[in-house]
Amino acid sequence: MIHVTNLNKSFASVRALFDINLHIERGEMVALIGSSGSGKSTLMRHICGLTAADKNSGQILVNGNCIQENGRVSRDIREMRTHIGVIFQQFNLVGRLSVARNVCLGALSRTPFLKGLLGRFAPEDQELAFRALDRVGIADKAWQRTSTLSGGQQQRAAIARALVQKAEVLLADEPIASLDPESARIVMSTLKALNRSDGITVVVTLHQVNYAIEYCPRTIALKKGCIVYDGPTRNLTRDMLNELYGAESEDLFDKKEEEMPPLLQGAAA
Amino acid sequence: MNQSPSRHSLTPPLEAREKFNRILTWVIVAALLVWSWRGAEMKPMTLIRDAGNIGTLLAGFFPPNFTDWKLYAREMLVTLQVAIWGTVLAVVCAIPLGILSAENMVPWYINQPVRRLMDAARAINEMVFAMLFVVAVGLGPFAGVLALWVHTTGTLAKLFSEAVEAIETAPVEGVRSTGASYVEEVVYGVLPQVFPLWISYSLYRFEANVRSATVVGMVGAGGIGMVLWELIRSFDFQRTCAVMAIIVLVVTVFDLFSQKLRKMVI
Repeated sequence: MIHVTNLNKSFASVRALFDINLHIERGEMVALIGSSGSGKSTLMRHICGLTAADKNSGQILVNGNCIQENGRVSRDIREMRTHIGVIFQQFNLVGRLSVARNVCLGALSRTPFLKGLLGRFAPEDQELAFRALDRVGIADKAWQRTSTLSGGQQQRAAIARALVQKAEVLLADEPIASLDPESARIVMSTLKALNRSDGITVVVTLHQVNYAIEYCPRTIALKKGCIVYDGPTRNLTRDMLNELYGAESEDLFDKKEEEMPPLLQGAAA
Repeated sequence: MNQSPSRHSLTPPLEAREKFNRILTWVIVAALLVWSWRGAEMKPMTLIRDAGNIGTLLAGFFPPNFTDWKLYAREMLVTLQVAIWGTVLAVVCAIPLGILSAENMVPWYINQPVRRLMDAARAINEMVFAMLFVVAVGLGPFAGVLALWVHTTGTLAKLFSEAVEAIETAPVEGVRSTGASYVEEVVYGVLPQVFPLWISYSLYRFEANVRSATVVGMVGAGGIGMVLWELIRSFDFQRTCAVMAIIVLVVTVFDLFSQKLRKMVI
């Protein structure tokens, strides 16, 4: 489903990704872990074609379509993005529009140009939007202005938008990093449910290993732009992470649940 | 000062430099004022010497003569209509031109030329455009509409593009990630973010255009300005006073009204 070969990327003189090779099958649910600055978000942005790689890079294929090759993003990228749903840390919804309208934007690419501009979405797409909102559990918020929703609700709206898009791949870039633990669980469970019932391939970047262990059978670990582990999550022991990341590994565990005194935990939630 | 300055520092203590800068600023300001005094031929004494003349002139304004008030009201209405169309046409043009002059929307080889064009439209006063359009389309309010249109397009395009340059990119990227086209990105990612500001700017320009429309008439572009010019030229100061009173009233009412409206949209 997703093939990345020899991906290199540098920003100015700083190398962000070194020779990344990875292969993800249809229907997998994969966690991409690593501390901040390890290159996981950059990798995600390359897979959906929002960022172009360096010239000396290989190919990125998603569902057989070439997203980019040798650092050139495909000409048909807009069409290809339709099949790739992206969930962002900051939700990236349009705050002043209603939730329903934001979700309907997922259908833009298959709506005729003028109808799309006027917001006249096909009845079946509107129907689909409401069903998607129902699935993620925020159907009652459909007519609210999106900016009035909580973070967790906005993230679920973003997932609904990807559903309306009929995406076969879901790339979730730090979807729970700015959410409280309870909302984080709801969002991860929603992603898991979509992966199980619809067979959507899910790649999710996380900086807390706990969630990877709970929700994702496979984990790819990045460190300073290199893949340092790729395999079943259950084989990933704490000692191994310590070995891979040294002192950084402390950041990978959810301190809120493990180490923080109860008083601080209350403040963080 | 709480911290003692370093003994080995090569730069002078900040305080002395600040003092010097302050004095320099004052010297520059004073020099500028003296220099402009001569160019502007400032003669404050004449105000005192000719106080009698000015007094006579002012007295000539009173009591205001409102006998032709129906004509003034009709022409004032024309002035408002000129302001309305001048503003609306400008808003319509400023939307695409504003986006085309925003750095984050189009490459430099598009935004730079568009910006320079808008600078030109803005740099030249409505009065000048009005004179030109009177020559082109003849005397009357339409020349006024054209003049306000061109000048206001320049102003609004700049204000609109500044709003566009201040948007958040995240929602635009969100729309892009669904496979939307460029225009759809603008319509759904950019416009909802800038809309309240754009409305506010448009209302502000309408306010300003009501004021400008009263003067473009003076060069023959219709409305109350034309009446005003005729009255001043025939030294009919009592009627001039009546017209000025009407202008002040209408402009004030529209300023207040549009201010209220602007507060509502933001």
